[in-house]
Amino acid sequence: MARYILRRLIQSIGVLLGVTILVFSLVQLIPGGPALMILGEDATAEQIAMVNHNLGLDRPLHVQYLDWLSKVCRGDFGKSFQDSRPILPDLLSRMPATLELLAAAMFIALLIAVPIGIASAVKRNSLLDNVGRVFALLGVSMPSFWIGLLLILVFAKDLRWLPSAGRESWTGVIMPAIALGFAMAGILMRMIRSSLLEVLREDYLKTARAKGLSERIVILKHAMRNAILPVITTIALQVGNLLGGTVVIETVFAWPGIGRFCYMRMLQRDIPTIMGNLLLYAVLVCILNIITDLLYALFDPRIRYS
Amino acid sequence: MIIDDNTKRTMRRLFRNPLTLIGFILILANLGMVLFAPLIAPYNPEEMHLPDRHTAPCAKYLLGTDFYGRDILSRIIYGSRISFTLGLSVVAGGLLFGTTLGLSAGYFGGRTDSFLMRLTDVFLAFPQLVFAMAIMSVRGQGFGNVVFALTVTGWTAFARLVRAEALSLRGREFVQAAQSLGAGTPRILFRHLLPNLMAPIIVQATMGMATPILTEAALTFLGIGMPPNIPSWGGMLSVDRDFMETAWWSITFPGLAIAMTVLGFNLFGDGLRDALDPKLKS
Amino acid sequence: MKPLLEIENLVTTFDTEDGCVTALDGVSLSVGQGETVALVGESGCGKSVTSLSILRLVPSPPGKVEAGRILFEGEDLLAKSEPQMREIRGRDIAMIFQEPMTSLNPVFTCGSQLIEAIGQHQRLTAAQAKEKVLEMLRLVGIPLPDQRFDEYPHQMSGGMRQRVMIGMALCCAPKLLIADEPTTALDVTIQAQILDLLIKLKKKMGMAILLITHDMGVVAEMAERVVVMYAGKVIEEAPVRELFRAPAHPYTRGLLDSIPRLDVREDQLGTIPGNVPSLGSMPSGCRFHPRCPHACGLCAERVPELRETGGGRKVACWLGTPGMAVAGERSASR
Repeated sequence: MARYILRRLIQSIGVLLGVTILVFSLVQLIPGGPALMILGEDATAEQIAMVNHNLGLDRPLHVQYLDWLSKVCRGDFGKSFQDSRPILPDLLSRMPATLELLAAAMFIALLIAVPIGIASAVKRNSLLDNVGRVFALLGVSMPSFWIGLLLILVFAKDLRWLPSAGRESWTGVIMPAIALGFAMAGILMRMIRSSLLEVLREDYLKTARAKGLSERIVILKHAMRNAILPVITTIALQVGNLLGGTVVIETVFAWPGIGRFCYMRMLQRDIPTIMGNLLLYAVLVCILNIITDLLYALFDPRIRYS
Repeated sequence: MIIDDNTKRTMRRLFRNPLTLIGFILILANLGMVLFAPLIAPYNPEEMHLPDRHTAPCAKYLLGTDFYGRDILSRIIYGSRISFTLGLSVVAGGLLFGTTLGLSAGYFGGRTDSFLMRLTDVFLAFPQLVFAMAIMSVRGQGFGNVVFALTVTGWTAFARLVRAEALSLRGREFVQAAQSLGAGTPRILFRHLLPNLMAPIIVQATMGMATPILTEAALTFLGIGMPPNIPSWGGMLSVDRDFMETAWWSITFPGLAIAMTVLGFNLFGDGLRDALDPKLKS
Repeated sequence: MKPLLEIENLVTTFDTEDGCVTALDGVSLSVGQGETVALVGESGCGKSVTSLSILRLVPSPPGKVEAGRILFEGEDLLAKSEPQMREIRGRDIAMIFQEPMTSLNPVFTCGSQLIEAIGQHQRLTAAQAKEKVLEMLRLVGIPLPDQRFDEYPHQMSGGMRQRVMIGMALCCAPKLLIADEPTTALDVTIQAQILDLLIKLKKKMGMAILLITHDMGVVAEMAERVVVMYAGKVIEEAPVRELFRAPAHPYTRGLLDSIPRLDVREDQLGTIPGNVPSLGSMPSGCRFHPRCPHACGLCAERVPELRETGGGRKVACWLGTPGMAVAGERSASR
């Protein structure tokens, strides 16, 4: 078990190293280079050379990268082009709001997906199953920000039940969480259904029934404990997408998280903030992946004892 | 094209499920809009009927007009062109990179494999949308940049799929036979392995249309995707989001167009998978 | 004395993509108190469906018990409610399955799976239940039961897992044990150990056993009486010695000919020509007639009923019935 965790940690560090290279090369994608972007089209060659020198961009690429990397490792993400404030504290202070939204969306996704997914598999090909499957596909087919707009239209503007923006009252999280969690619910529902269908064929369920256990225990205890394993893997793979979705949803609902902050800075082409933000997202995805891996090991003794 | 019994059987299996048929019809309808937009669109999508701004759906404007008095139906019809060609380009790019890298990883195994898989891990470490947004904000709006951003962030799905399948086929007799006959590596990869991977690749390519369409809509909605002068579904939502109270139609129908298009590819891809891979069905 | 289990004219069907097929077509058999009966036949003949039907565990849909009665201690199991059946399962009738590798739930410890079986039918404290499980594990010959108790199935060998399965089946001292191919998936040496264990436990606990197998060696080792099935029907029933000495049905003879024997020198093992018919396309008349070396016109037209031939024997074959002069042919084939 300890070795399993250690291996995952080492792997994640390797991945994060690759991530820094990718993030660093983002600068190379700027048409004409950063100096031209800062100075505008009419910059003279001398001005460009001076900006490049001031930013240290006239050094060889690998020197620039190593310099940047060593700063990043020490927690120095640089300063914003916009307001010259250090980037990392600004990002971290907005993290709780984003994590709150993420957790709420995950909760809603599970709340929808687990019961319908189970019922869909147990009553395969029934009306409920077919409705559930169409519903799930619809969930993954609708743009989350459009769901968000429709929710605002109906529940905030028309019915005036919920606030359309902000995080002032606890009801503020409901609509963004639904809009964000809906697609996840669809994916999880499909995964739970197919995973449970697979497990329902297993011999050990015959054994469980032959013991005299009730169908409820056979499904919820014996089958689900096994069917949940691929679902955890799916969650691990999708958690990044969910995190990405927060950017649009935070923008639609004026949610004060990192997503909206970062979007504003992207519109202003604030390159250091964009880079810092990308790094932070990658670290978050890695951490969330490690958490789901630990969950997996917790649920599967075959991994725990090898 | 020769239609043998096997193909016929697959076709029958494919359309036995009414949902697959619905998916196919949705794709056809979408394709119809793409190909015949100038013929079926009632108005020029750019034309501003300023006196008719935010007109509700009526006989003159079937789906109403937007903030600038442009006909929403016509803009939806023309907007399909962006979504469709974009989806196709991104899938083609993903196929090109993903399949080549995935095939190599699966066939060579060992260090090549672990290096390429770690590479996909790195790309998967970013939320796709944020990654694409970062690239777009650096590169600027435009079709080419959107294709670039979505291909860079989306090729891993193909690579991982093809790699897993190639890995399972690499030890099979027909590969060994080709090797023993002295066939070169590219020949083995593309003449022997690839044809055997067509079924999962076709399924992935169909389903793979969904993500770029959704992501492009999100990017354009956020103002960093397609430029505003080109009719696109995400752009339509972006223009009218502040007026949804007065003009519900202006945000409802473009979103519906996105959802139905994506649903079509998802439904049809689902059906394809069931039909091409009978072992998944019991 | 009334038999413990009596199956009368059981008909079980399955809905498939190609229409409704009859998996069991009027199966009748009985098991006495403490008796070991072997149910024999090729795969797909309906042995396992019979055993699942007894416990009412045939998946439904697509499966359905259409007709017949299953009397257990004189009461019809088919008439019982699901909660009543749950009390019988595991307590009065227990079952072990072919695949010990997949029959235990991989995410629970072996001990907890046995405790669950006991707890379902008896009110015991946690300590009592654990004590009972350890005793059971000892009884089925598992070394270091204290240690094995907390292990997961994947940490055990196939033979060990089958012992756990047997322990789980017997922990409530059932009156009938249904053993569905209990040794098929195991190594030959382990097979013998598991059979010996079953024989030993039967002596000790006195339960009846319905042994489902296609292995005539296992039959000879364990059974007192044999029921032979072919294509969803019982075609022969006889005490085990009688059956081995003089099989009455050509199919049974074919089965016996196809096992290697140590006492007779043979150059070639016998085989039964042809294949088991699929359930969707059953031949008319006797279902075995297309593969039968003795088939005649009547066999293709009319279904032979299972009839008693004396000495506790039954056979469903037109051979030896009035109007069929085939005695000479019969001895010649041997």
